[in-house]
Amino acid sequence: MRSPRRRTGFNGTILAYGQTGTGKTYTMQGAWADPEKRGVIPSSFEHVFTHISRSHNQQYLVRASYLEIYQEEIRDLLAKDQSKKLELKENPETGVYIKDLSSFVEHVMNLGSQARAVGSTNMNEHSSRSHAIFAITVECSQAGPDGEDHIRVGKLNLVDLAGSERQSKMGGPGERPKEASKINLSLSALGNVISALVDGKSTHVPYRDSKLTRLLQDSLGGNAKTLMVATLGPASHSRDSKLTRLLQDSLGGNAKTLMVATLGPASHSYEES
Amino acid sequence: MNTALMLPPGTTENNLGILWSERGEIKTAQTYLESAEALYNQYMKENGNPPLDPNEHFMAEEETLADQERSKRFEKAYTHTLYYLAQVYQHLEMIEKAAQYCHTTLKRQLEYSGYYPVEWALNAATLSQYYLTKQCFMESRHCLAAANVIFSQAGQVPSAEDNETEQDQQDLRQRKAEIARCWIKYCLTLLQSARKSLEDNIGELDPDRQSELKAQRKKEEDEKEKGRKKAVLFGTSDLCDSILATEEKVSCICPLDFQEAREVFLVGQNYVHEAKEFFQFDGYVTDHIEIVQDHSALFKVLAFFEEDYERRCKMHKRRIDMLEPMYVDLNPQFYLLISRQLQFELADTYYEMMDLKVAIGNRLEELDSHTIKKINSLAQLAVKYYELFLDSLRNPDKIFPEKLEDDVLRPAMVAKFHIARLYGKLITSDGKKQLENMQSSLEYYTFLVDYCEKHPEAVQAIETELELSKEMVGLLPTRMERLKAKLSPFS
Repeated sequence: MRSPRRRTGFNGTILAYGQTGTGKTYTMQGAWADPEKRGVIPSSFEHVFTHISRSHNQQYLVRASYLEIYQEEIRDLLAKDQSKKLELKENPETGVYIKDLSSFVEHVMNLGSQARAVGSTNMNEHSSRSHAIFAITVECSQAGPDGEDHIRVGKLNLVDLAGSERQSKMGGPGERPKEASKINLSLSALGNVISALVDGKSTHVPYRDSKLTRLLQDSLGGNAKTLMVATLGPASHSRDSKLTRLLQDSLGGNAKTLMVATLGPASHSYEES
Repeated sequence: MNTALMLPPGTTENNLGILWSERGEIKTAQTYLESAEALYNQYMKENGNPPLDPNEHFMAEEETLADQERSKRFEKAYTHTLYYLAQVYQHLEMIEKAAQYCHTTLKRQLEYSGYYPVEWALNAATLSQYYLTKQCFMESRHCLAAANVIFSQAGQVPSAEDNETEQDQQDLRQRKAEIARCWIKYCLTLLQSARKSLEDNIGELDPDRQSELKAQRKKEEDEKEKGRKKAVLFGTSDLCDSILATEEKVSCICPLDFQEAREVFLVGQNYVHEAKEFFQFDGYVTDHIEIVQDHSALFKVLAFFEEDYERRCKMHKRRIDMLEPMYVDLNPQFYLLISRQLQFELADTYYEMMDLKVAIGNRLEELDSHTIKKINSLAQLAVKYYELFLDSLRNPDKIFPEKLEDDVLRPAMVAKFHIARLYGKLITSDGKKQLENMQSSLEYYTFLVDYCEKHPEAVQAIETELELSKEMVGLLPTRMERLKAKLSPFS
């Protein structure tokens, strides 16, 4: 049951998009220990804490979770049992959520060291082929004029997307969990081909929805603020993947794109477009 | 052709096909694969025996394969050829050919290669949806019936490991529910296609067309059908019987009257219940709602076949009863799109019901107060939901957008138009109230006209409504003046 005094604040998403090796993970994670080389995730924490430390008469609860989507399967990167696959569910009141996803909850002060532990977590093994989502939820409780506590909740999704280089042409929209090697040669991918025939027509067979876009749907468009960081490498081709199109459709005109060009080991240049 | 010297047609061409496709040269790939296909057909025609498997050239005499194994591998290579061709045609956007090759691949999977029953069933069910887009109901039904039969094989296969997990059971239930959803779409599409062929230019059942089509049906030969059917038939003879039995439970020809429509409706409704068992509201909000929307659509299209207005009204009431509770529980922040769809559908349904009550009322000599109350209440509920829909389009600062996005343009305009009309339908004996209603009506008609002036590109989306709105904008002020004049001696 939800507390009637809980209101939703703003949601935000930062997406790192680009081909493998162009610096997405470096952008999102960076080197946690080195203040010069911190990525978006540790910087976000720092930003949250700074803001919290400057507040008065408010109580904060910060909650963080870290998951990976690989071949349309969801894994909890903070869980002890890494082999367990998690399910995506929907609640009519609160929207999309992951069942049994663990999160660490900390009252403000101690989060720093915990967060660093996350940074040194074994990065998902398949980083170029999976999406990693680090979510920070901040709850702020404040006594209102009526003397009651009012709670506002905001969520920040920090998404390190899979490498955007196009999947092999013969494979179809996605990889099936069953035969990981030579997908395009295996008849088990026939389903992908058939789905592609039905895609975009009026009759909708729903089980092909992408887990990533479902999970992020309340953080894309509408009231949410979305920022996309596109990383490029010297050999980048502009090849569309289905994910790009999906994201572009969801974001529409609402996303600001920050371009990060990795020109070499030492130089970064930023262009806002 | 000398058997010993010939490599199985499939292998080389298949590999070349894959190679060229990975280089992005789809047309070249197509050439190789089509030549593999032609070679297979030619070979089978000229020489029944399977050729040597390429590996056999490197095997010792005693290790070479039995004829049966050779045949199996040979056929499997050909199945792959067809499968790769299906992908090639899909990339070349030759959709019909792609579907045909997918179908044949599925067929061959049943006959030659191994297959996972659940996966096969899902693929067949998905393919049925493709056939629906082409209005090929016979093929669609065949795929779905086959899906049912093959899926039931999954439950029967005893699992080697006893630890069939909770997850596996869960997966099975989900797959079954997904197949049920494909059936729902089949029933719905069949009924909607029937409606299209029967309706006149105001959306009512045209009895002349009905008799025409019924007469045509008796004449039409089954020969053409039989030919098509043979081309797509799945499986061996024992499978055939089971599939046939399933097919006989639902028609594949367009229903032409209420009785026939109701039978299709009932099949669809059964599958709704089946699907909802798995896709429950709490847990699968979006899926559940889509299923209920389909259920509502089934009622809507059945109502078309129902002659009696009162019974029609009851069908629409069923729609309200299933949609409204869901809508109330939904948080629009997370389900904006669905929320809007439900608002609009609820409004439209109440609107439809109101129109029916008015029509019923017109047949009576005099409108009794009960009917008047009913009409007004339905009208007001329709207005409420159209307003909610329009409100959902406002930006966070509660301002109505200057320019409407393409996907909401027509619904928003229709909402405004219907509200205008609804205010015109409200029945009241209070002159002042009447004047207020006319004023509201006028405001909404004016909005439409003004918007189309400011945004001429919007006109084509709502031509009919715009025409009527312009008329009303012209007529209403005069009517209002007359009414004011009538009332003023008594003020």
